[in-house]
Amino acid sequence: MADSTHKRKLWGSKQIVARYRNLGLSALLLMFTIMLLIAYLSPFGYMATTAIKNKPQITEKSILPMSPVMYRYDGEEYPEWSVRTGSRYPLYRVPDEQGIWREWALIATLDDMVVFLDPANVAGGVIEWTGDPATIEPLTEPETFMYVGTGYREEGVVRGTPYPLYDIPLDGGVKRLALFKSEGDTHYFLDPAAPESGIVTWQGDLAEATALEKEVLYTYRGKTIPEVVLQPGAEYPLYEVPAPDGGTQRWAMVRQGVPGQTETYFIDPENLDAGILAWSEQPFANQQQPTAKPVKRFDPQWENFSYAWREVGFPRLLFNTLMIAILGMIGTVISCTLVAYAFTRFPIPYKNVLFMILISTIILPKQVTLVPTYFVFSQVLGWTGTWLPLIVPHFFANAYNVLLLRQYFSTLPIELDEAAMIDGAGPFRILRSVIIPQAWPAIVAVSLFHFVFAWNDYFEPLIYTLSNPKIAPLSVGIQIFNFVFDQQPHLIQATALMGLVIPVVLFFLAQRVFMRGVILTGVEK
Amino acid sequence: MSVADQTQSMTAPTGRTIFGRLTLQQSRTLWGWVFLAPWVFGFLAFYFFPMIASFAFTFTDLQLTKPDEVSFVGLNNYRTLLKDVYVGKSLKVTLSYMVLALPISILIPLGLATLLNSKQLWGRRLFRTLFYMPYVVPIISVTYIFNGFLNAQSGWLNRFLGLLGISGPNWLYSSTWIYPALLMIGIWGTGNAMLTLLASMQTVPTELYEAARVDGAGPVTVFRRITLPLITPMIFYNLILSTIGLFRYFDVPYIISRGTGGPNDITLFYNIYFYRVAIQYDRMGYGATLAWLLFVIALITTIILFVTARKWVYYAGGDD
Repeated sequence: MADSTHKRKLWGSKQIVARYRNLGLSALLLMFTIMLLIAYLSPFGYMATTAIKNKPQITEKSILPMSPVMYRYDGEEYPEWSVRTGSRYPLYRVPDEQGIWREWALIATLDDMVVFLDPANVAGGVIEWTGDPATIEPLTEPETFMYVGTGYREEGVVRGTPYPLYDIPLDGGVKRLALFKSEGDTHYFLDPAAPESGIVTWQGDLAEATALEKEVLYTYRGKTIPEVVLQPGAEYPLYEVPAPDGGTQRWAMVRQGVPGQTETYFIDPENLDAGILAWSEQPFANQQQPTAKPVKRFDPQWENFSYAWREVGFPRLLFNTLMIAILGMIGTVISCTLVAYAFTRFPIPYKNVLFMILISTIILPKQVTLVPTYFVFSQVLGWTGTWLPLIVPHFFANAYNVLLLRQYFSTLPIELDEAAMIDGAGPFRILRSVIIPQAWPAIVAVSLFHFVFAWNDYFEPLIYTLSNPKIAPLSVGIQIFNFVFDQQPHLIQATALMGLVIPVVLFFLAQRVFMRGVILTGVEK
Repeated sequence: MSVADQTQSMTAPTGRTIFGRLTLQQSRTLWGWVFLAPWVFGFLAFYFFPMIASFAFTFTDLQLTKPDEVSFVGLNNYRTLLKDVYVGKSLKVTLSYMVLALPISILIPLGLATLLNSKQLWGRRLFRTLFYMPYVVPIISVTYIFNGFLNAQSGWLNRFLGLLGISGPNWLYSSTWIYPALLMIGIWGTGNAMLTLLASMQTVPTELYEAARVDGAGPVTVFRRITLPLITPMIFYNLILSTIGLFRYFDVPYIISRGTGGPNDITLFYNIYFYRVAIQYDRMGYGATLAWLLFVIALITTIILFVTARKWVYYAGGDD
């Protein structure tokens, strides 16, 4: 008894092991198949995601179309001043922190400070001086006139020498003259407004005259200071930047630094008063793991479809394709049904030979018959530039579909035909009321096959419609845009997607009938 | 063929016919011809006479734009054929691609069918639909998709290879990698082969599998000894279809190379050259000669396949 319970236990555990092994095998197989399917269909993924991207998004790493989230700066221009190359700034004598008088260039006078730049130390940046602006004075120098003519050499005028300018009271008015020589109280001037009009002599004390003075200007030649100026309305990308407390904060990057060389500048949209924040940790030094990550959002470009739709002229192409497909489909269904009916239900001499001939047309390369057919269609019948060459031949049956229908018809019980015949039905009547109602799946399959075939056909539409783009179906019409959209892969993919929607949707809707039809064609060796 | 038996039984019942004075058998034969007429006419109009005309054209210098100036040139076109370096070149392209593509066109659908035939796999029907689906995608869309998918920089394949540390080639512009690229595109068209092979596998009687299991055969042995031999007719059928398809191969290389056959004429398939000569250069006489050469080669290949098929294709009951 003990023996038997032991045996039963063993048997039970074995079963459980086997069940779990099967389960594991199934899961493994499923995972493998899913991965295979993903790899197999991945080109569709490429198409779908590329079709909704724009050009910059294509070159980015992200699979989905992402765009940086921008922060729009709506504050005032910041800072209010800037030092630009080529600008001239007046020099002032200013006491520095130690009280030593310096010669600094005045950049801007703000409410609470004066901004200076030390020409001797440009690299040190601007100096924010908070002393009393009333105490400082600009540096001045005499204003001069330089004579460049050739005269007055005997009088002592030296060409190219700067002569100080004075406002001299003369003839009841005041005249601006350049002094070039003084002999006691007699002073000799040139008139800068009309230097060739002669020497002006004036008797008097120069102290009574006003010497003209001008500010000494400093011309800045360095880089613009500060490197970043915030403009109202400018947009800056948002970044996730590590915060001191270990979290992250969203800052807007106003200027990206060069890794290892210059700093990166941010502003904090939550706290604009903090001004421009320099980021010294080189967030982009490590490209794989940047410490500051751009904030992105899903940003599909749906307008690619409407653009391609218009540019490619889809409505016309769709109309052409549908007409060619549907008209040809009608012809194929009618003719193949009749022929398959003949092959399955009527005693035709040498039927097997005829059937072999039909099958052998599958093997025949299209090229052999192409040249004369093309010649007849275009020269004899004048069908070039019409749909007729793409439609009419389908009214005369083709091997694949006859094969399919014949296969299906021969599985239909002959007794029903016979019963109808006894009731006095003619061959047409039997076809219509007995065969066709039973053969719907096969007929639908043939219709679908032809539709998909016509939608996808390329070689014959190319030959017969290339000369007349107005009648071209999709396959040929789209092809032209391979050249036009050469540099716009997103538009090419949008076009490809729009070209495949109808046949693929049709396939999914009728997949059972479709695939059963394929199998049925294949069953007949 | 069971059709013969069915038609025999059709002769027995009595009934009136439109062709009054004829016997029932005769009238049914006549009706048969009526229903067969579309194909008979189509065969004559689109196959038989065009083939004969095509053969006749090979002895002329016919041009579509100058049909009145056609003249008999004897065997000139055949002499040109022998001297034309592009004939050899494009035949070599077609045949060498065929050598690569034929095994793949059988092995991949066979593998997929085996996988989808596995009883252990959940969701077989869904997988079958999804693996078949690319077959219905228009060839122009397929070509565009792969044009981007195989792009050296932004394409997904090279990006994926990049993740593995492999720098992928410029698939479509490299004379080494263009064939693998075309094969990848071709794999998307194997849905039909997969489906028919799968259907064929499902017709293998389960008793055979059970018997094999009783004899202790492993899954590999079962596949090799039972499944494979029994589906050889379907493999053969697909082999013939693939061969014919490859002799007609035109669309994908034409669209990808934009009709140039580039890079370096490596995709100058025979039909691209034929299209160039017959349609673009309007040398219809010589084009017909090229077409006939292809026909003869395709015919010989098919005959060879059929002859060798006797050695390896299994026919249950020796039917047909």
